[in-house]
Amino acid sequence: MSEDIKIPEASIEAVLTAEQKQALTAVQEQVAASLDKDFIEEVTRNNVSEFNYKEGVYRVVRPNYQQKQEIYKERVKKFNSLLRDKEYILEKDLKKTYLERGIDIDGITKSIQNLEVRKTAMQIKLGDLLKREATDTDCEAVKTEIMTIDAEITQKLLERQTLLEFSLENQVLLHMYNHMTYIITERKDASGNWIKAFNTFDEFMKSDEELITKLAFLITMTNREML
Amino acid sequence: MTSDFLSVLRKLAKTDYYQSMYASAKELGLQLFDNSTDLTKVQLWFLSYMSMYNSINMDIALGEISDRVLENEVYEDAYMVYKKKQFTKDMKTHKQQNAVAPEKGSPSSSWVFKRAKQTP
Repeated sequence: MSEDIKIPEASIEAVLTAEQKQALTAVQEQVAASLDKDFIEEVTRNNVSEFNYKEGVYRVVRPNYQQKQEIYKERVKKFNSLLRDKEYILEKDLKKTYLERGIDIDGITKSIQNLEVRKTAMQIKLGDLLKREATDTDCEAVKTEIMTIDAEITQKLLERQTLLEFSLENQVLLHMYNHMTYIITERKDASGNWIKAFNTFDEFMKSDEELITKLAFLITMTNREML
Repeated sequence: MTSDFLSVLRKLAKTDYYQSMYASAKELGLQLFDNSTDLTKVQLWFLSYMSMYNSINMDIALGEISDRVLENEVYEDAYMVYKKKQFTKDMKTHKQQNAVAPEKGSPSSSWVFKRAKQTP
């Protein structure tokens, strides 16, 4: 499949600055550190995730109908405001610009789909080998092939995600998740009652990055629906 | 990030503890989570992994496959994809075998449509 698309590496490098790469690595490390078994077990136990952070106890609740409406309104508002701003570019226009520079986003999507088809075919082959109790060597060879395809898929998904990161739609989505985190995070007060963790959106945006990362992770894991 | 998370989640689902919890929940109606409704995305994934391992363990017990399938996640996923494909294939064959071809000359419908007589 690699012959389908040729992406100049220099273009991808140009999209992601050194600081952004550093920030991405830092976020990944923070999340990886919190990925212990006990934490995940706790997250699965209930639909409300409670955790300690510094002096406080926080929890993330599932949004109610009113909160969902509020988040949706904020999403529409942000979309309309960015649409009027010439500095932001719609995904379809961003794709056109990339194409002019020799990067075919739709081509990347197509090659991901092709890889997935190839992966499924390999999985069926491996399943058949396991069923027929084939030798370890045979099974391992197909397993390696599947893992190679998987790595290619991951790499292409990451490429596409990185390239489209600056689209208007992605900025709106990012804002929506931030707003949702601000709305549905609660904190225990001195008398043990749950209150809103942040009084204003600005207060939320100025809070610790570590806390925001943890909350954002919990929200993406616990929420089922896209608003 | 998410793949690490999912890897830990499926390891949990595979444990004897959660497998027996899942079996009990199925047979005795035991509650798996603190909440019985409004499940989160993670809870749905967890349920799906528990169901997957339950199915594999059942096949091992029935001698359909050897326990080598549980050696790694690639084997497990491959077996489940293969199993789904086989199931679809079997269902298709079953449907074809059960389909009875209509006898020649017999009407294709028991309904008789008559055109109203046109008055000149």
